[in-house]
Amino acid sequence: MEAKIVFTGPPNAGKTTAIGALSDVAPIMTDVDNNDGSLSKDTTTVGFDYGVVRIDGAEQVRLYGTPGQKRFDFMWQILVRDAIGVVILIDNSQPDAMSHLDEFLISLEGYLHDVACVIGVGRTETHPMPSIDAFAARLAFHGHVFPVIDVDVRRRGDVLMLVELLLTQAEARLMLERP
Amino acid sequence: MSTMRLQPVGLTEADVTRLEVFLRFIGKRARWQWVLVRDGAADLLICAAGARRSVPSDPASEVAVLSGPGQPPQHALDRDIALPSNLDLETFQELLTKVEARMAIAAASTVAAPSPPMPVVQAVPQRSAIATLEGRFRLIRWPGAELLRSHPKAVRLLGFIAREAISMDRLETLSGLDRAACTEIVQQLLRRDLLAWHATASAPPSKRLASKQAPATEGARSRTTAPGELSAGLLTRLRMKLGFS
Amino acid sequence: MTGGSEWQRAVQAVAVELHARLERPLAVIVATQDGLEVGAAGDKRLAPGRLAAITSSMSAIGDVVSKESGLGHVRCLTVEAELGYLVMRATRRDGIGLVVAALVGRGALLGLAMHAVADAARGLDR
Repeated sequence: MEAKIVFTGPPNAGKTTAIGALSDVAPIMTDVDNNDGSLSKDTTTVGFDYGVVRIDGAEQVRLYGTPGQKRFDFMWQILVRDAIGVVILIDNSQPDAMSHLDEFLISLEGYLHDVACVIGVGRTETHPMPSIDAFAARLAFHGHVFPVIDVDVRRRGDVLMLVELLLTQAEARLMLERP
Repeated sequence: MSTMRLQPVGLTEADVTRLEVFLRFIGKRARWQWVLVRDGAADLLICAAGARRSVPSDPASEVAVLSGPGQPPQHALDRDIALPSNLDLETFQELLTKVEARMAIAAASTVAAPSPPMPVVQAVPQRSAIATLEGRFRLIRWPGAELLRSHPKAVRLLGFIAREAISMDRLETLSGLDRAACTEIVQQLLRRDLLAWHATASAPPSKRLASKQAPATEGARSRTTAPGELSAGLLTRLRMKLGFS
Repeated sequence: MTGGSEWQRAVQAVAVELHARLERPLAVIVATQDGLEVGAAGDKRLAPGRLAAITSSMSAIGDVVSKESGLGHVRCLTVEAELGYLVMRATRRDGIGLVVAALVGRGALLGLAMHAVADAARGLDR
């Protein structure tokens, strides 16, 4: 049996790093040279990042990282479909961090009622605003009640916290759906 | 689904026809239905560059300026959205997404506190709700880290009430926490105005049986057991593998 | 965007030429590896910007699949659909990775389309 967890978010939010922190195999990446001058990176993901958490025997959970740019939003929707859940990573050092969250919530609107979701906000130590509370309020405005936490995806413990919150929601949904 | 109004200003009939065709393809969005209006109030005005000055400034409306043939996209005012003259479907879709995001931001910044999307069935004085804990409770916003640090087991409970309104009895059963722990956590959430309260003790039968609306795209999850479908067992084994309690 | 306007004009010219050469052409897109449109010809209702992003994703995924399965570097990626074909090829021009993609109707000969796309890719390569 297989299942998947998706990491999405704007460019440079730490999706590839988060997958690397969890995967039992070296992640497969579809990075290519970046030609977008607005992005301060040499490379960028255009397909998806892929990793695996092996449970036992034939069981594993696939980890996917989506491209971050809006023009690849078709990949967000393809990958999030039928996932255990999706982690939306936000880089709070970006001036439009909140509108990034809006963008992903709007784009994934049709999927977020069926999958668990957690928001991880990075770089809050150096960029504390918008606050975590502000992100939670924005989620409520969009009609969602998802956990929002500050994270540093370079720390495996923080990535695990995101996944644990995802699992808690997924388990709750399964239990509530039992007849 | 709410309606958003798009009004062309000073555009050629060919451009207006193009907008009508675009709206036929993508006018029905996830949260809004966009319609073309010829006059009156509008949420988005798409105007020809030459007609920009005729558009009065209105903080409730967004303005997009269509450049002339052979002209680069240009803003007339800082908040205007510049569009190329050969507007294609993708650019139009991006325009609607941008306007929807701006509308969401504007609405969020004008409300003092977020309104829960689901109606609160009945307002109850805080004191009696805290005291009796009758009825059902639903989370309207995830609590901050400070509450989770002081009540680490709250996470077990939050996942349930984030999805639907649940009574204390059922919450105790679902979460595996004892009544005292559930009570303490729910009271803390009530004090922080993070819960919506529903007067009825049990959910109407239809609510339990009705499935959530699935995305109208291929691949929506079937509710019948199927090979590869998510199971509680898999989640438990993943939990153990990652070292969670 | 990378490449000055002369560079983009040259790429656009290749796109137009390829479109003219194809049987039952629907659209031609030339995209950067990271999904930005740099040349397009044909039916603009097919949203060239969007196709640029999609074809760059497909190209990258095809490359990974090919390498992971030991087939080596991808030369050509083809999609056969009910109403036509998509043929794609990667190339490089002045250090910038590009994807040349052609959409043709079902009546076209696939082999000729593949040959034309290969020619266009070679023409861009420098």
